[in-house]
Amino acid sequence: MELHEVGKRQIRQDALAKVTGEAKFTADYLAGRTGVLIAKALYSPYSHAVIKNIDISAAEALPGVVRVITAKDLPGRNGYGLMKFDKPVLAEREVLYAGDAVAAVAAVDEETAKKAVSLIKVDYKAIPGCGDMDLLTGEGAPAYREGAPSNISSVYTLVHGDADAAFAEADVVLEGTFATPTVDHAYLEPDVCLSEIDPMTGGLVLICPHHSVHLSRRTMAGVFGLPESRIRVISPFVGGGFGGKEDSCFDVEGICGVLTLLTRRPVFFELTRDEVFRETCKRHASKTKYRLAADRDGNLLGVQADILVDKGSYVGIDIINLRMVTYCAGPYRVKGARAVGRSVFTNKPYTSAMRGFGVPQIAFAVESMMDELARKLGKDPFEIRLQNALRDGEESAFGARMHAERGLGLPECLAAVREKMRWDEPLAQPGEPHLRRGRGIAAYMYGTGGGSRGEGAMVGAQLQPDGSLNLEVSINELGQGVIQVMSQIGAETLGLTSDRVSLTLSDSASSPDAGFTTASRGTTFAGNAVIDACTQIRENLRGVAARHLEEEPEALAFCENEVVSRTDPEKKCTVAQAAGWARSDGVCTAATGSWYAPMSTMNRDIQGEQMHAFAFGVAGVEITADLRSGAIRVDRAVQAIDVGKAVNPLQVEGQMEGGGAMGIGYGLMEEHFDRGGVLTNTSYHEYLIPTAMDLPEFENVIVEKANALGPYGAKGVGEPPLIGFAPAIANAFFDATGVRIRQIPLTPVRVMEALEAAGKLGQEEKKSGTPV
Amino acid sequence: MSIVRFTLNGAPVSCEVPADALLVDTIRSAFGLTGTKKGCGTGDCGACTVLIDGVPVRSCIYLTCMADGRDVVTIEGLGGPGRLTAVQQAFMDAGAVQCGYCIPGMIMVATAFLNRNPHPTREQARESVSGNLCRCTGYQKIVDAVMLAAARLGEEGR
Repeated sequence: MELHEVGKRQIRQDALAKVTGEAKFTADYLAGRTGVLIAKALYSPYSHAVIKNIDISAAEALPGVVRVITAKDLPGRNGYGLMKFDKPVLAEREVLYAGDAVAAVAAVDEETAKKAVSLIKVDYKAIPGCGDMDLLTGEGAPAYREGAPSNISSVYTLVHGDADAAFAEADVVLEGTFATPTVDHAYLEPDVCLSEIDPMTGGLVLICPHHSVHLSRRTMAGVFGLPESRIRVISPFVGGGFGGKEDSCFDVEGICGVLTLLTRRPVFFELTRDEVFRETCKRHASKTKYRLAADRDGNLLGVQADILVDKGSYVGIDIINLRMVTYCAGPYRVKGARAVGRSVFTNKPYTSAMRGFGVPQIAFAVESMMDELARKLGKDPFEIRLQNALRDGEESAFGARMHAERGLGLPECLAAVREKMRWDEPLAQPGEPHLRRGRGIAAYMYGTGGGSRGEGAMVGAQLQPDGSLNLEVSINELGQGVIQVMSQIGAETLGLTSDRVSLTLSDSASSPDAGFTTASRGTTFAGNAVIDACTQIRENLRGVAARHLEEEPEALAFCENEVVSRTDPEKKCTVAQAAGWARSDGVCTAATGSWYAPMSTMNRDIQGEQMHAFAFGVAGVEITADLRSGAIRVDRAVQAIDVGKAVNPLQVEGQMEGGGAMGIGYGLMEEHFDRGGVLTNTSYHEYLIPTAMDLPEFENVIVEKANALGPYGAKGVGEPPLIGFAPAIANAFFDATGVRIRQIPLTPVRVMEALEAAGKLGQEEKKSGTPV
Repeated sequence: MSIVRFTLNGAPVSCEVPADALLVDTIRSAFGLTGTKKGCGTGDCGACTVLIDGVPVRSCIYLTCMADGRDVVTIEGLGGPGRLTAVQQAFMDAGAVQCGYCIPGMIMVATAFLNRNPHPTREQARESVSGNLCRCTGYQKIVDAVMLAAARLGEEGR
């Protein structure tokens, strides 16, 4: 099929507003408004404590303070969360992390609000908090919450074939324990909300950066004591989310909305960067005991994994352990697998979704182990991955059938990265003895969509009489480029040019529920729904145009804003003319489109269909390790990803580069530290994310093995680019030094410790190096 | 409270602010220029970068009263739709924009850099934006944009 819009490198429609500074983010809606109260919250300084008393009298007495609230003032349910309503708007009896809000203030200005918060006196009985999940499992462990019978939140056990039998017949068994850190999303826009009363319904309007306005409405209705229909949630441009604002939006909306309900005035509530780090959700840290069995030819036979993930203080999203067991064998076939994933509550910030959603954690173990296996058997790391790659008709470790017609591009990705890295040529070493170069790769698969039952999307579309098209899509514009992607898909389907298509930023009052802006699902799910809506409109137009042009409907083609007969090119009209005829003939030019993925069949053993299609990818790096300082520099970063179809290759590259950067940060520097659960690095100069000087140029290869169920073949690309880089770096470090590091990030401290432990620090390096 | 007078995007302005008012807040609240973003408030991320007498400054750690008598330029002072500067146009064309929150600061830094160094190497262009954080792009297309702007400005100058 010849495509006119899909597959083109188009400049995104929102770029102009963003380069002029005119694009409005949530906080920008405050400018020029008067009478808006400013909110501030008081957060627990303790990671675990019982609240004995809260005295708000001095705060209430401060001139300019309009309202001070504690848990007893809340109008509805004091709890929210994505999977369980367990996180309080304001803690009443017990705080579980140094980030639980205990009181909040609305005042006439920020200074007054801050001052009022400082006047609130909370009498705590502090309890030693614990941020170490190992200490919180097993007999005699302290309780993360008073009276909790166990610190375990959830357990998922994957059983595939007979793992014991697979290990019994193995020639090679490898094992190791792999650890990944707690990390922050570190989106640049702090969490923020502006709320006001809707004068018509008496309900609430909440402006807030989101991953799903409809999710927020469903979750928060009970908190506000309002029917869902009286809550309107608007998400303007979002200054980055990466999974985090899916949950942390509730943290600001709850306090902000309640203060508006109680004062009947608009309220603005924005977190400081320090509060964003302390209070909002994190990526789950993990520890995985991993075993891998193979025959002497390098064919994988079985895997076993015993996984702990750090849940933090509230449930948030608690299926990271499910994803980790799901992908316990990576993109490879095995005869038997058994993986147990437990999530453990700790007194750290709650944990939820972050780009990759558990797959980066388990991929670090799987791909480090694949590297070890290749080295043990003297096999080429590309070859061993290729020979084990899941093929058409085979069943994955999670019991899902692989379908060639939905795109299985791992072999192509392996070949592309191998060629680009010039793998078959030796890597030159720098002349200086303290510098060692090495290279490594990692492969992965990542399913599109949540994989849960009922996963789907609804969107709205309306063709205007002038031939321009409006789309209502509640997938949020987080920066990933949904506006342009939907415009190109809508334009392609209806025979328009994409400049004729406009999207409304997601607003629960106008855009139907397209599901979450997560799981690399927006392009595929909402894209399919846009195709459905635009196809309905196109077919209506086809009938109208056929009558007016006196032509057979099937003969008409829609392309570049025209409707033209394939058999008689004289018979043509513009889409605008056809839309005008439709209007006067009483034919509908609006539609709701929807798409639902094949229903999940996953059973208790985590066997069955979850996601309908998978992106595949390979990351490869060349690094230089400085044996004197422990610093690792990534010299080259190569990646190939099978995205099905790149709707806009410019934006796909943007995802690959941004995701790759986050993956390198994950591998080299990003890590939250805590003392008894209280985070100790809560600014951008203590919690490091990559700068331009920390990164190489990314060398990207887009592989397109079409997904028959995706829009024009697409599968999604938001998360995959992050997954491979951390294990690729660890593998490259082994290549450079012969030392295996099984804990990320590979910071200079950790590198020096590992070199020291391995006896790899030469006398000269020992003298001149200064391990911190 | 003190009265501060300065030039803002080419026009003389004055405002009455407390001595500890920060320039980012003054620009956003008193003048309603919301293109300048506040990402951290600690001078780390650079989203709030403005030009003061042509030099990029983090307005979240700069007192408004220090701007007295100076020339302040924000993203709104560059170009609007239809009259974009070469740097703004290059950021669009190179695909450097994702969420956009860091972009005003990036463009201010890149603008000052190219004024200083109109013919940079790619490595210099990369270094020029390395004081500003971006979480979306991996900086690659931002560096592309700086180089594209330099090339176009070079052609214009010939």
